[in-house]
Amino acid sequence: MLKYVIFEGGMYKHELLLEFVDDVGGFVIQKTVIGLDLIMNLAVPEEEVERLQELVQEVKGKLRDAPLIGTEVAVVAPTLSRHHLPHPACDIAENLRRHGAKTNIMGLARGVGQKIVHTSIQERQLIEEHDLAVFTLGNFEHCLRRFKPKLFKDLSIPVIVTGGPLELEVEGANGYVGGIGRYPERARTMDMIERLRKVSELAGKLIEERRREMDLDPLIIEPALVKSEVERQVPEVLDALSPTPVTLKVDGVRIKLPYDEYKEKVASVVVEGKKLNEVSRITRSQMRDYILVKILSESYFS
Amino acid sequence: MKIAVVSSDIRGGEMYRHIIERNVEDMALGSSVTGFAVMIKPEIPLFVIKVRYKERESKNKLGELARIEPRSGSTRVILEDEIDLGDALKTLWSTYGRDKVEQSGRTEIVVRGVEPESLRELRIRKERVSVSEKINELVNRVIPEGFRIRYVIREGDLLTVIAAEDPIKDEWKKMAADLVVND
Repeated sequence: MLKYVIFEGGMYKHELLLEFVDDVGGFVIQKTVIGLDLIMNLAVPEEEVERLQELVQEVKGKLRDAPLIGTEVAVVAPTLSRHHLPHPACDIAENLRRHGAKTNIMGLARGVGQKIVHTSIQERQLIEEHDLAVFTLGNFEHCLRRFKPKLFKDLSIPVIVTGGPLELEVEGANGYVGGIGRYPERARTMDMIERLRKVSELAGKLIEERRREMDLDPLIIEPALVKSEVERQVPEVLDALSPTPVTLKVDGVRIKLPYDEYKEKVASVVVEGKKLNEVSRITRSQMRDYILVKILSESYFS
Repeated sequence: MKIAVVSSDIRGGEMYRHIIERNVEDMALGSSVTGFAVMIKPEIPLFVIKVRYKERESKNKLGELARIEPRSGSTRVILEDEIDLGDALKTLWSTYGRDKVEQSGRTEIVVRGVEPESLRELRIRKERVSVSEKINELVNRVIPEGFRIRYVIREGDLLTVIAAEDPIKDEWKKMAADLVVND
């Protein structure tokens, strides 16, 4: 299984790291250079992390675990109005990004109230395109416990719920983080930031659990390899203005190019001697007109 | 400004106290609102908010809204109410430029190289400020979105809004009437 880590250090001798990652069959998911500083999101085989750590110490850098690298997380607010946005949703999304996730914030059409609350099929499909969803709900225990579970209880992906009450069991959610309800300001206190960190920590734990489950029947090709091959064989993707034009997901990639125009080209991308459409399902995404690639598992071919 | 919150969900109620405080601050209504009373019963569901506020006279000229004091080479503008700060800064910046206008305090602005007399006659907006309109906006920002059925009572400087998901019942109106706003 691959382990996801963030390297923070300088440019000096960083080629050693790149060489090492390449040699052990890992991937550089993202590389950001800020002046002389370097931040890299890396995926390396679990058994090689110790050796990588030694190398990182040699180049005087830092390495930290970031299980959310290579995941796309939906942060779902009950609506798009100022009651629920921007503060809770954006704070949570920012913290998730600091832990390596790619986040998308979405507002439901009717996620409020007790009687009208519901999600449409299209909303559910869009949420399910992600690897994990964080629902940022309100302050009342009664509402959260009795009426809000219908928003997420049928979803096939892990769900974290945030709300005002400090402790709560929410039906249909994989985890709950309290003390983050509806609030009208940016999270600035240590207490609030700690709660945001808890959301990211819980998200990391759930994603790691999912990856361990998937390891029992691994994907036929690593999504990170598909990403680099798509970037190499469909260079138009590098000109797309969307952030992270090829977004890594736990079980595939999202390619931010128009589906009708590029589906054939994406399908004919060759990865490890096989065409992409032979080893994955390529569909139209509910998000704009993007291309969604879901890689098939090994058992599918046995 | 006093805020009384009666809630069957104690923590939820306290969070609403905070939401009210921050919204009053954001809308610069601190000096216009004198008291709030809120009753929250999510199990019904019912949300009642009562606001007592001071309606203001229509003043548009800077000389009427602020104390204007000459200083060596500059003029100090001390606004009576924070609610006018946004309009005053906007007008001063567009008239004299950003390099000459500086906000030196919450309600204080220093304008360099301009005579007090010309500032006194400066109109900072075309239309008068309506505090009651701003109070309506404030109340809408506070009431949870799902409580879409509203019943509004205006009695002089007191605004009462009963919000629920069902048609408003007479007993709720009575509960709202019994809620006291302390100034």
